[in-house]
Amino acid sequence: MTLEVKNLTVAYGDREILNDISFKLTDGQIIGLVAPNGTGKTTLFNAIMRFIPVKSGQIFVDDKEYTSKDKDVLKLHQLITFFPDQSDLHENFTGTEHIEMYAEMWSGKKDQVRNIIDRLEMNDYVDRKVSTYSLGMRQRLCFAMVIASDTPIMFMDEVMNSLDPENVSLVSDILIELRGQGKIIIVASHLLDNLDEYANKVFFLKEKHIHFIFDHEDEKKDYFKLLCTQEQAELLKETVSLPDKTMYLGNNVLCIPLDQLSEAEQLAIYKQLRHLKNVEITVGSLGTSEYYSYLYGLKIHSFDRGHQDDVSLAK
Amino acid sequence: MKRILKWNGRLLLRDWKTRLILIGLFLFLGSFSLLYRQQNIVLPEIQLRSEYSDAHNIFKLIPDAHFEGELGEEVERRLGRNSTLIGLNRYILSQREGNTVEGVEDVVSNYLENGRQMAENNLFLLEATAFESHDILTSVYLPTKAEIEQELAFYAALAENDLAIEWNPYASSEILKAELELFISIVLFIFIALLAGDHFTKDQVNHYSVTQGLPVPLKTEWRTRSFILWLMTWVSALLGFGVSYVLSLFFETTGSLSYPVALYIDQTITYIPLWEYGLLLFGLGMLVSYILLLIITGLSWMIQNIYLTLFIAAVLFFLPQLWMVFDPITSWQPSFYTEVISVVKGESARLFNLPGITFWKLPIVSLGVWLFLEAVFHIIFKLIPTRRSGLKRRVTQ
Repeated sequence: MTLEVKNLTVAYGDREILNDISFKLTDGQIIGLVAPNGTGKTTLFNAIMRFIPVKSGQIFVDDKEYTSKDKDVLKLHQLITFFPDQSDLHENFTGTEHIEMYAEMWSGKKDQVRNIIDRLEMNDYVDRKVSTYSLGMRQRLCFAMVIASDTPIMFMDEVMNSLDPENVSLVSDILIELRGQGKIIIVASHLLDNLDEYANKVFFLKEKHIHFIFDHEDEKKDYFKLLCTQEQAELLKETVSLPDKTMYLGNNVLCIPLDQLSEAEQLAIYKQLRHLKNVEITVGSLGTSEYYSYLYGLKIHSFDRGHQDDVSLAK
Repeated sequence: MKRILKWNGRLLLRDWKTRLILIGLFLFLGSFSLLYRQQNIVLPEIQLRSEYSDAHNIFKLIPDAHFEGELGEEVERRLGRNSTLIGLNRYILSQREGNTVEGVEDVVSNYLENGRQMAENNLFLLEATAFESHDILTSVYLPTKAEIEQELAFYAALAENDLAIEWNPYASSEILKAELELFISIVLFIFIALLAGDHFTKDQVNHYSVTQGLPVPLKTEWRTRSFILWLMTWVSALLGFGVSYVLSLFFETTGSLSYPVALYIDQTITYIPLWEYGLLLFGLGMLVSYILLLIITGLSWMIQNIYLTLFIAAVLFFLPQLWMVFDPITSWQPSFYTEVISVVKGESARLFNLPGITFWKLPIVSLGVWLFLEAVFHIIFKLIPTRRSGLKRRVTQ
């Protein structure tokens, strides 16, 4: 199975939201979709599902075009499910009923419903009415509904919202299992480090385009990743020679590429670091969160909140 | 279709608004016979008393001189006879035994025979145009020729089925008839409008992402959802009718389900048994209510506002009133047929001066309207109910 989007442009009136988006996905892939709020992630999902009018562009599944004609839209909806919003659940239905409803609507089968409930560890609450659920319970339910639909393509918008770390891990594991079954899954999420655990590729939406694709299968370079203040980063630059491609990211991480440094130079940097207080160093490749910070100029305002003037900490 | 029936049915029945409306409908109809008994209804016997008084008064209005001569005397004789016959029938009704009174059959005769005689006398009087006070007779006393013929047909129908005149307006069969007519004329439509007014709207406003994108054609959903609402309404209504009828059997005389009821057909009034009349009303009501449900459910998808949907539904229902102001064109105009009772009784035909407005046209008109709705909503469902921007054209620009 393949999902291909060609030259997709979406506009609300004169305001263009997405411009000329194109990509092709093959089965057994999880794609992370990241961008700040209001950049067009959900709009992209809505456009592919044809929930909103599309200015131009084409959608192909298995190289067959699915146009805006009713017949095509219906067939498209048989192939793709969209992650429901937890506030849209039927309050007077139980979780089991929701899952069964999705299973019957798409596959017409309910035999997997109990397995899904077991796998998502929902047994203790799933037979209660949704009105009694916490946000996390609702979110797991929405996830279970999509799994029950068992479509070859799944759009998971903000799938990790409201989940605690244990459930984030559980959902991540299941996403990997679904990928193993050959599904194409696009996950929009703000848990950037979590995306690196399961996504094959991460699409970064910026300025109406897919601005950058971070492919986990590409060869990765190692970096020194220093968690430090900007002041500390400046001080380091003054004392040692840093490579051209060194980046100071808004999330207070200084990324120094190692492939351009000799071992002696690396050691020099390390020695200099020992003179700085509260600086953490890790070695590894850049991940989604670093790219995100770099591309969108993310600033973590709380990093040194209340300590900006604390000289002893800065140096 | 089966899965939509199952899940939408379950969703609807889980919804308190639906439950309350259905329970309300059931309670209203189920308790109708008890409530109806609280009403003040003119007993046929009392009605006859007023006719008796009219028959006496006519002698005071007509100068004595006009009763002279052969024709005058015959008129006087027939008026006098009518007065006697009314008195006899009043007595028969007051005894509550049936068409005659045991032991005095020779004196009071038979209600139907007396009635027939009165009708024949009236026909004679109606045709006695040479009588000097004929104008007074027609304006004050005599029914129209059509009414007299209708009366004769009524007596013939009673005689044919060997039925007695119903002296009790609270008889179970009479209550059932009154309940049916009230239900089909307005109550049914109020309830279905309330049930369906926000059916799709709720999905779009409160459950958008759960319902949007289901792999089911919208037209199938529309038809199926309308059918579920129709089914629920009618199950609730029929149960209510059953309970009301059974309750009435405990408190009142049963009456007869074969009692003749007037039906307007092809410019004449014929009489059919009450059970046939009931089935006819149920059938026509079912047809009209399904068509209206298709419209209201469809509007609830399109408009996404219950108040506006209900307003438009009300306008559609009261559309026939428009033809009181403007001249109607043909008896095939669908707007006439929302008022089922008026059509069946011939009131619409008389009111709009279109004798062709008759009940057998209703299924044909319904079929036409259904095909029209299919075409209209085929176009409307090509739009997309987007979450924040209302309905949009799906077609790629």
